[in-house]
Amino acid sequence: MKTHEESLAELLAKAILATRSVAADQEPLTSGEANAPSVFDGDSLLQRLLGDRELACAVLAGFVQDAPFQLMQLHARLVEEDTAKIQLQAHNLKGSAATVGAEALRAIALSIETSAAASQLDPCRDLLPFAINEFERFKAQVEAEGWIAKTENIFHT
Amino acid sequence: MFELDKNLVLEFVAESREDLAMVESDLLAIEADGTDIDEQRVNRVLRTIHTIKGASGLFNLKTIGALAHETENVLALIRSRKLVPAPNCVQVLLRATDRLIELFEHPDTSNDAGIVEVVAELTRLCTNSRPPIQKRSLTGAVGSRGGDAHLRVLLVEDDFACRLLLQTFLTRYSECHVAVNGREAIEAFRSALDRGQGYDLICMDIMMPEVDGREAVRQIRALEESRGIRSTFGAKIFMTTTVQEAKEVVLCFKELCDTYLMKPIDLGEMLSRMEAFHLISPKESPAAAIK
Repeated sequence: MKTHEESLAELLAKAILATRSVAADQEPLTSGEANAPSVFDGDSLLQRLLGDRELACAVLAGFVQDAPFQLMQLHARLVEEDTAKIQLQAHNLKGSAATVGAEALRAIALSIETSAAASQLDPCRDLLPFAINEFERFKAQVEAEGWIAKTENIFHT
Repeated sequence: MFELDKNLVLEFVAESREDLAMVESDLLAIEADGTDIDEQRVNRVLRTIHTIKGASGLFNLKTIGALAHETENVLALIRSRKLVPAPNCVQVLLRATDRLIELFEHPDTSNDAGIVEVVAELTRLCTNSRPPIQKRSLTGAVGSRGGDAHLRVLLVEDDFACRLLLQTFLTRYSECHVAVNGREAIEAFRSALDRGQGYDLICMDIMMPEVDGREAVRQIRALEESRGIRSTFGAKIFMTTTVQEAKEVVLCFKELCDTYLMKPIDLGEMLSRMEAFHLISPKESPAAAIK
């Protein structure tokens, strides 16, 4: 039987869930659905950053530099077949992607995190190329829209 | 504040009233225990009141939150054995609990209700306790910041983009230090206390390597308590969380975090919470944040 403290805690969790964003509501993707969410949601990003485009550009530039390292880390963890570390790395990538409005990448990272939590390595392996591809598409779009300066691609997909 | 389902609010009210009835029973037992304090019982009451305080903020029940805050102050003193739960003390706590139950009977109008008398009684208990609590000299943290006070923030985040965003933004308002996991955060907090320059605000991620956010909060509050700092006067702790971690946030409330922010972080919401906890003044509006 639940204690009163646990009941109140569960209620609070429901209230927290009621405040979730639309993006956070989206279900994890399977490997065949990588194109469903938008590659880059610049409007939402600017809205969350109080319209501060300078700050948005700085965070986008930082993300574009850091994400390849995160993807390489994810690949290394997959080679090691360490599901706990895969889950944590995918969680990190998901958070970073959500911060910059990389919705498609965020959804794939969530799928990898969910699969790793269920100790399912094959879907994680299947999804990694999609994640790399989505990152490249994201980078290309933010460069094309003038948010950041164009730089060379690290991955060749 | 978010628009919440009315049924959820009603459920919260009903649940809180039941919890407060349990608190009354526990308070009577605490009185009977006298100086032989049952820590588990006191902790249970304190955490229930703290959770009600935290949830009240979410449901915009400001008066209930304020009264819960003052009640928690007294309970924190009892827990740290700086205040004996003598009959007069417990009677004040019971009156505060009764007032909370009354406020929950009419949640729609509770924000306009008076709590001055019972708050004065609670405050008197805190003032009369020995040794007096030194707020700023011990922690650097204050309940309400003055215009010349310099805000000190510890940002605990292992996600690079989120860290970059928050550090850049918070630096406009504060001296912002960074830790990338819970272990580093605990060490940074301990070191800051040793220097007499505690943090006013901690933004704490939950899922991190080495030591996670919940354990870090637990240890940080223990550090505060070991130095005679009540959680209500200690650092304000904002958990930063994703939807999947919602239940984990609830456990963080039990470790005495103050509120949470959903990821991806909305800077307007961040400023609202900072204002609600008196970390910044209303004049530091979102518009003023944009250079």
